[in-house]
Amino acid sequence: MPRIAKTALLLAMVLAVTTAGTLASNILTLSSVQEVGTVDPARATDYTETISVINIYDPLVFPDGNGVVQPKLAETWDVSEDALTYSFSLRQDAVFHDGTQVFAEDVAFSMERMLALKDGYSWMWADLISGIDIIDDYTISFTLREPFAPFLATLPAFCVLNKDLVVAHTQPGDYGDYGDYGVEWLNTAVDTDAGSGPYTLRSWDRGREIVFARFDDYFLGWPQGDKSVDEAHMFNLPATATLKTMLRSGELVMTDNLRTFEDYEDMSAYNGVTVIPADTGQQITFKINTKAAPTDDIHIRRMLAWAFDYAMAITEISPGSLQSRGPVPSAIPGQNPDLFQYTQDLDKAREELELSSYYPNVPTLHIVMGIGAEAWRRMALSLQAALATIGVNLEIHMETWGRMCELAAQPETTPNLMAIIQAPMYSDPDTFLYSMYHSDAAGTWMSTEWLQNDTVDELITESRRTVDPAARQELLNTVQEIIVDECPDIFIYQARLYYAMQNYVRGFTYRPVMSYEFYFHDLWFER
Amino acid sequence: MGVVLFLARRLGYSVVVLLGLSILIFTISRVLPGNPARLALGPYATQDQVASLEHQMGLDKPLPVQYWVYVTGLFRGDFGMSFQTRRNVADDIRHYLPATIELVALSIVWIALFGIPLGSLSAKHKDKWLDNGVRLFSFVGVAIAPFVIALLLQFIGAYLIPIFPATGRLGMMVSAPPRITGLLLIDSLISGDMRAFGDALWHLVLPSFALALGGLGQIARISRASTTDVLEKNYVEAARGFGIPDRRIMSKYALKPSLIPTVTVLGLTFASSIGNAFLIEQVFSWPGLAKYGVRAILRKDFNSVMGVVLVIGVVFFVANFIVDLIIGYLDPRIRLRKEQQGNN
Repeated sequence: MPRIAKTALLLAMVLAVTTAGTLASNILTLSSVQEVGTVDPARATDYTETISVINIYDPLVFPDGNGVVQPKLAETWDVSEDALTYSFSLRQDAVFHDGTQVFAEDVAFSMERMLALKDGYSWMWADLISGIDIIDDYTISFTLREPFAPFLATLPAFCVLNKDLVVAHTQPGDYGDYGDYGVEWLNTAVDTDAGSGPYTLRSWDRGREIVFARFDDYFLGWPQGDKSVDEAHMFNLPATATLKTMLRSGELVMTDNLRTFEDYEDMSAYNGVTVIPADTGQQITFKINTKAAPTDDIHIRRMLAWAFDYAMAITEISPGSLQSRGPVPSAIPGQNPDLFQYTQDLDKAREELELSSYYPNVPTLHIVMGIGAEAWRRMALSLQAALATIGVNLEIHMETWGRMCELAAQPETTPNLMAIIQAPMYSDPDTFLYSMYHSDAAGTWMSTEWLQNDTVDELITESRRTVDPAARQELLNTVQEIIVDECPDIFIYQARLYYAMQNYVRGFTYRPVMSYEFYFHDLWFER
Repeated sequence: MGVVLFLARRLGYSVVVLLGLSILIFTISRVLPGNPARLALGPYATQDQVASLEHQMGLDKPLPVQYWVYVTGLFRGDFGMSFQTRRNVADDIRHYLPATIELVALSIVWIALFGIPLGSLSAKHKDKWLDNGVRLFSFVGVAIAPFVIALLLQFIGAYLIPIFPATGRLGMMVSAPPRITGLLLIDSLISGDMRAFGDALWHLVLPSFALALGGLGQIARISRASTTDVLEKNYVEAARGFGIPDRRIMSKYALKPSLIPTVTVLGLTFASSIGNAFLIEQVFSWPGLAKYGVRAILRKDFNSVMGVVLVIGVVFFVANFIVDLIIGYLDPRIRLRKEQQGNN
């Protein structure tokens, strides 16, 4: 063989060997509109933090596509007769990323840590859990102060950390023997974590990207084998024009769901790109202050509901979205499907107006929404125009989010209407009903209705305590009916969101809890 | 000695200015609507959680006490905790500032490299086609918003003719060099990682040029005006009369004095770009201080706002000082006058 041919063959062999380990792996690149602030499961609150946490860590249970919780770290669970004690039996094959097993002690530590730090999603269990008992290595029970039917539904937000690893990295702090509970370590660690999830934290360059690497020993395995996502890169891409450029070139594999309908329409025409819609649990409402004149009059509130153009909202503002039916979106199990739905009818609006005690001198109404919420401003303009035809004046105000939260703190400062998008924090009607309508939850942007209705309070409280599904559903149906009758909101639509991705991505599963659709273990590439 | 006294005087003035700036921004940031603890913890946080974080951050203390704690912390390098990143603002600044410095520094290089020669040439060929072309270019550069330029460059350079990367400081498959300064070009040179150096430089081209274009137009105009002014001076006429070639007149007799206003504007451009680079950073997903600062304002993360403002203030001080030194070199009369003032 000529010398040059031998050299070429040798070079080819060397290249083949050295590049074999680096041949194209399945890399998912995902855009986000904001940076990740923390990957500490006890401190995460927003959507990018939740994406990071649910991929690095595991909860006891995990929601499926219908929002129903399924086993994860917990294989089985029992609920006591009095619904005060929940006992979980853990899988015995789950390991943390350092190879150590997941024990009940880790679960107990993680919940104690969550409650002690008073951060993140701890509000879900803060006044609820009265006891945490380790029964044996793989069995743990939580005792509640009172029955709480949505308890299981809240648990996907509680993720388990490796106790030994966290304790080994604690620094002096306010928590006795546990020091700072490892907060500083988890906040500054850029390539280590304390999780057991399907992905490890490979690197985190704040402002650039966060990278997750496949954990080969994950207890649920990798059903798609070498088609599964090996690495996921989530990076901050707020500029939509840039996102489109990268999607078209193939550099971006999957987008977030926070662009406009028109943007996704554009993206659907790109070669090699698929846009997947999802009917979500996000509900867009114009919340009505039931304690401020003139919206303290039920006839004025019903007038507003009759005057709103729902058809325009679901055909032009958010095409494909479903008109809302009451306070609970249909994506959440527990909606009353028989609730009354308003349609735009200016004659009926006028009738309600004339029944009002303020008629004919109805004070000007004020609606507040966030700066930049152009779509909602269009809806408000449409409502303004409709109200003008029946002689009612509506003024539109754009405010910063901080200002809106301030206004929402008191009924006197809360405007007549506030445009809000509400996303479910857990897959249960309680996430909407309690936070929006119970008097105990008043004073936040979620409850600017200031409903403060004793019957509604009692029904919501009772529904939280009732664990029998049929009995509970009856209570939920009744309270939803009363709420719709009281008309404390213009229930507009449940958002249909869109996800653009390269058409070789498979396995995308929408779950009606914030960020849980970005669970990389679902995905694989079919090239 | 004159320079030392000059520096000491400048330092003194800057401390006073920065102190005043800190009081102003501290007060304004706390008056802005919205509870930063509530914004940081999310909408579902209980009042107990909010109160706990407020206490942790010292927000339950009187304002003057909060300010005193903040200022005394500054001298220890403690800029307070950021609500958004949950770590010390000093760490955030150390993380984000180099990206902006690198971006702005290269944009200044473009401005100087192209703007000054274009202005000089324009002055030399005054009212001819070259001059008119440069003037048109300058107007366009100044008139078009930087983010429009950024989007255009990105579309053309990263998609239509995909030569350059669309976003970020480094490609996904390139490992960052060991962090020494945070400036990727410097760090990669120090560690000998030429792949990272080349990749980082390639990523810098589009965003730095987008940031530079407006300033380039401005500097070309200023350079043209000052060069025109210098070329009309008697000593230049005399040099021409002695038969000295035009090229030598431009480079030896006209360049240095015509650079004085240009250098001043370059210094101010550098300092102001640290804060104004926000839109460029947004378009190119550049993880810089400007973007961090705007996010801090929107989330009422006032420790971060204070940190960014103080950093920009320091950058202005340093830039102005360097400009003064350069001008002193360019115009000996200024240096000698200052030395005389220092001795008196």
